[in-house]
Amino acid sequence: MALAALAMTGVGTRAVEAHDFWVQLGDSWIAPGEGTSVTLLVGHGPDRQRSLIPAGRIMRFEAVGPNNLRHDLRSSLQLRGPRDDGTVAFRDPGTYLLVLQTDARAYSLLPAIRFNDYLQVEGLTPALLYRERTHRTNADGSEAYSRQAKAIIHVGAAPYRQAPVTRPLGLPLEIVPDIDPYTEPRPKELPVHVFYRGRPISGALVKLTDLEHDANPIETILTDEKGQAVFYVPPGGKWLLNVIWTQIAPASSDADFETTFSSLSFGYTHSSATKSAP
Amino acid sequence: MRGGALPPAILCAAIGLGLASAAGGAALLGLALVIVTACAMANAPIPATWSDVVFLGCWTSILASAAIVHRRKALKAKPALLLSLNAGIWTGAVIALVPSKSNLLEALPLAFCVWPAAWVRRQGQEVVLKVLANWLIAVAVLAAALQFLPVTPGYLPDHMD
Repeated sequence: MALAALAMTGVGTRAVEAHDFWVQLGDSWIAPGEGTSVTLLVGHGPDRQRSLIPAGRIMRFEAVGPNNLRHDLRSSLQLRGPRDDGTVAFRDPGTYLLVLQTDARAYSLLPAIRFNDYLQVEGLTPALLYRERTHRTNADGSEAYSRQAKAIIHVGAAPYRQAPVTRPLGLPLEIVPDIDPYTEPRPKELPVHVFYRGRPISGALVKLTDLEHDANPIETILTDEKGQAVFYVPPGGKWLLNVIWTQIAPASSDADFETTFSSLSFGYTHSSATKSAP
Repeated sequence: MRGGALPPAILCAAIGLGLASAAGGAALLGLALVIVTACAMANAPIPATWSDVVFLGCWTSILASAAIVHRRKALKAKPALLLSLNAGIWTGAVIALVPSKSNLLEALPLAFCVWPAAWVRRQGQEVVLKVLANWLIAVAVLAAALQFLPVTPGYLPDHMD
């Protein structure tokens, strides 16, 4: 009883914001043949840190380039290097989409108050409704979860029309921009669709975060009935869109829910070789 | 319970209460040993990955130091110095985990409770010290037990895998 009381004193004292995962590029605009660093990051603000995910849990790390050509990049990952987790370079100009997908073997168990808070903050209504319906809102909450991260990188000076960024790649949970954020002239609005298992989902909370001041998102929008959310992205800087969705786990699972974290990062930071680019 | 100066401050308070039953010279020497050892350890390059072990050492030392209050006999010089050395090591080790060493200034003054505690003891009011010591022991036991719970405690970020 006393133990539970002490445990509860810590519960709810931390804002539920630190768990997003993304691929951070050193520069998002690079010259052909030029390398840029890739870093796997997790958490925001004071909790932001290099991901400690083991290589064995990364099922896919590839680049989808112009004309939908795919390049397996797993060999370029050097996890937990001194400054980054690897380097990528592309010979041919164009816009590339880096895709990283993990298995769903990560596990989380949170105390009831904190789990309810997390579900509320992240807009995970299926889990909230299920817990209310089954009278389990006072129970600890467990999840098995996976990560799906995409990052957009542009190689060369001019924007390209064959960019793969506006097409879904078949990830379990995916943020797909309706327009290429690197297109010129740069659009004021960035509409995106969110797909869960191939279908657009409504009511998912999409967050836009400035990665240079990432303690809190600058904008959060619920997807409409068509699964769309429209953001205003200021010019310059490094940006992250992310969304989380969950479903009730099968009875055979150790967890209550199967959750997927998805992110899309992009930026307008140019390497020195492309400084003159638009 | 793992951030800031609170864990080392509780340990300093516990060793202060414990040393109150030592002879005057041993208590003074023990206090000096706590301060010197803590300051030295606080600047040691302790990796962040050792934090679980360091905090477990801190909570265990609180338990050992505060439990001395329950001894009927006075604490002899040798065990007093050993306890002080131990308390200094773990106080410094916890502070070494964070870049700022200002927690030393918040934690170490608590060890000076040795003098008021010794005065209370001389007045025959050991029960006051026992109540305080038991409270510190309870906090240490509960905080140590939290490390072994599967549920993510409130002070740790969630979903970091």
